[in-house]
Amino acid sequence: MIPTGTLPELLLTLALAVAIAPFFGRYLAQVYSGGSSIWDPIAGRIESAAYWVMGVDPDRPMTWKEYLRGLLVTDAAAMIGVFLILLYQANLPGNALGAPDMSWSLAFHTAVSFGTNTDYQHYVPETQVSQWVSLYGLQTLMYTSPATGLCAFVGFARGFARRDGRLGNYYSDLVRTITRVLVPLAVLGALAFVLLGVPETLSQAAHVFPLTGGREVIPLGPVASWDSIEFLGTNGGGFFSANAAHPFQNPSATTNFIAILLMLAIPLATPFAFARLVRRPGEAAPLIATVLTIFLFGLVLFLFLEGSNSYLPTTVNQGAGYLIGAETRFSITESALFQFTSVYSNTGATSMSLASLTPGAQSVLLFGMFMQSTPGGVGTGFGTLLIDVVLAVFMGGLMVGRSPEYLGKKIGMPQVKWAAAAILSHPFAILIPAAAAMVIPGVLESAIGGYSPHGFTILLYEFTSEAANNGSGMSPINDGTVFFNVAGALVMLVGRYFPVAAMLAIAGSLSSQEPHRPGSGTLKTRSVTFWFFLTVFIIIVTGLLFLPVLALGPFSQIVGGL
Amino acid sequence: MVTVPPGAPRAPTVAPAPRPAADAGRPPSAVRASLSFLLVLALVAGLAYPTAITLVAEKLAPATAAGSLLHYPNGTAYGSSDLGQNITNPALFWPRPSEIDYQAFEGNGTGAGNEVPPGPTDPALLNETAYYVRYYCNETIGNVSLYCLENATVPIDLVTPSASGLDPDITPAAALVQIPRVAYYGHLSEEELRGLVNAHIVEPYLGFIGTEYVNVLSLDQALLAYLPAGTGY
Repeated sequence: MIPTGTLPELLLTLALAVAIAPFFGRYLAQVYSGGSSIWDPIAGRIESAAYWVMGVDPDRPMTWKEYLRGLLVTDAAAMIGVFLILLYQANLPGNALGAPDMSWSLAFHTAVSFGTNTDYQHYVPETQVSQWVSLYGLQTLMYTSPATGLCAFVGFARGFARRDGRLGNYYSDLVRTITRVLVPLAVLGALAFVLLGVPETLSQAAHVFPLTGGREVIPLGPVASWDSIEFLGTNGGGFFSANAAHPFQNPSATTNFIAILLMLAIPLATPFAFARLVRRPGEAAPLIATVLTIFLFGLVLFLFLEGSNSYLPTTVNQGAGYLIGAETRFSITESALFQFTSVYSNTGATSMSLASLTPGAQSVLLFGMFMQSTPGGVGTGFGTLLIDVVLAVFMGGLMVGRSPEYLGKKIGMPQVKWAAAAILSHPFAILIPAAAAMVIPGVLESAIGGYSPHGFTILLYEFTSEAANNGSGMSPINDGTVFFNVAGALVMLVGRYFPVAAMLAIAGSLSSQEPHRPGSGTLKTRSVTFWFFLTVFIIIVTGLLFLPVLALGPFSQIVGGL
Repeated sequence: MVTVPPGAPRAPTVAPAPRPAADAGRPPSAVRASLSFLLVLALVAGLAYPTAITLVAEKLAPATAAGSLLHYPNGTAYGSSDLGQNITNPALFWPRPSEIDYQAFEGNGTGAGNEVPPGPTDPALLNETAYYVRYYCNETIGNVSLYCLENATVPIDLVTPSASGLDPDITPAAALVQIPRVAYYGHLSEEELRGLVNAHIVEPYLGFIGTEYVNVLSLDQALLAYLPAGTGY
């Protein structure tokens, strides 16, 4: 179990994250309903200029297909651009440490990875990506991917709020996300990191002569500004290979604290923003309660299971906690809280070595990525929760024998088909490539040296992380191969855009419905019953889909060792 | 029924009713809009944002912004206080074992992630840990065990790798357990060393954010003053 002296900090972190959420949620709702704010004199002008450059009319409401097309074109253009510069980075400027051109498959994987908010890194940032490609390419994607995630969420929410068959203007939502949400908050976060000791310099490396002799290169760069958008946008791609365990990226307990707050800022605020966008603020309660119930239950389980490793020799004193693959400047509680938050918010930054976790703790992380919605990544996490709501309302309606509806909109066949397809796409995206890796001769051997329960967990984690657009990785796995690059990129694309398309399609079909007045048999969603029902629904559906595959990996490790 | 908020059934729309002109007008090109948006964003995210933060950082926190570099008296940098170094002199305190020998750049190779610590039940890990435990516990000078003092245990951080391989810190317990060795090889009293270690324990921020630890590099820097001039690492 964790040292009790660390509990006050744990509770303070969580309390702060939850306390900020309603206020930030209200602000988000304001941003997307065109409300005025103190930013208007500055942001309004920048936005007008942006619309002029882009040649769009920000007031023209779009159908769900137009909205989706805009989103897909933005992301596709961004990924193709980054793919191209990765292919030719060796001779581009800003490459002081001599990163070579990327192979096509690795460039494909990397571009898709950052474009889909996954940020799974099959490469070593220090040696394989140039500084300028990081900043102009990858860091740009770290802004577009949370922005399109938020757009998908806003489009989805408008389906419940509107009745004109439109979802609002995609370009307006996109630009306002950048100017009023991501950039201001990223700047605040970056300044906090700077003050707390994270490096921020335009020099790309320091050449030093260590005490132990020889000479060495210390890679450097604008780490604080990268950190900020990495956590705020639930991106999770590391400036360094060791990510948030690297002493530059996360030098102290205070930066760890800020990082956790940033990762939770948008995901916990979106339920409140949603309730305001649909003009029923009270509806936030059961949704946020569901998210927090599962989050806290998982966290307690994770901290409990991450207690100690009974396989170690008894001469090892584990009094400070199970510190294998964890950093000494953090208490084990801080490392674990960061890691759990990072995975459950689908950020995917790592402050510990995931492979060194106990199998039980690994199962908790995998389960979070199976659910994707507690709270999940920026925008899409809450979108997934709404898909769960659509299905839960439908099931609930069937159980009480009434026609199911949510927020006055009838949930019928078209909505349920899309919702069920989105939920089912997740196991498909994970299990088919995992099975392929098991079956295709040679793949398993070259990746993890043949089958073992621990090896299977690593393989399962790889595709789960990609399908959930999480990005944390369990090593050692030799995944920089053509098979893993291509399969992984396809998994990330399916894991990102199929659910987004489903969200917008559902929104489109709902947006032309006239809202109904609730009748006596309507399932009341603003109730303790619905909170309990939704929580159990998510856990049971996820369990039914994924328990068998957990049994093959971590569970057999627990039972059989290794 | 009672809890239905006033006005709830009528979800109002923010935008005006659909205008027929919306579809009749020239449809904006999604490609053009996206490309121009991305070009502007790349300049904001890649150039303006990091440059602006760097300019502020150079004013607010110049030393840490440059990577907390440490310098020899002649001005040459020898490392960063954030990063550990592979100190092996038995008269000095040692950091944790590192999978990448504390090399921030060269240690990374090109195959992603193969240098990180192995699984919790991995024989390699257990053997390695056992090796370090033997190293610390069973090495004796004369017939005195130098490392395992109480209950023959050794703190976990001293015998297992960190996540980054660059961890500059150890727990206070891991520093204290090294004192007999350091005292023996440095010809210093254990009492003196205990005082030195205690003076280098970093306390949690505000008393509860963080944990107690010791930065090995700064501890050894202080220790060098007690040792004969020219003692190396």
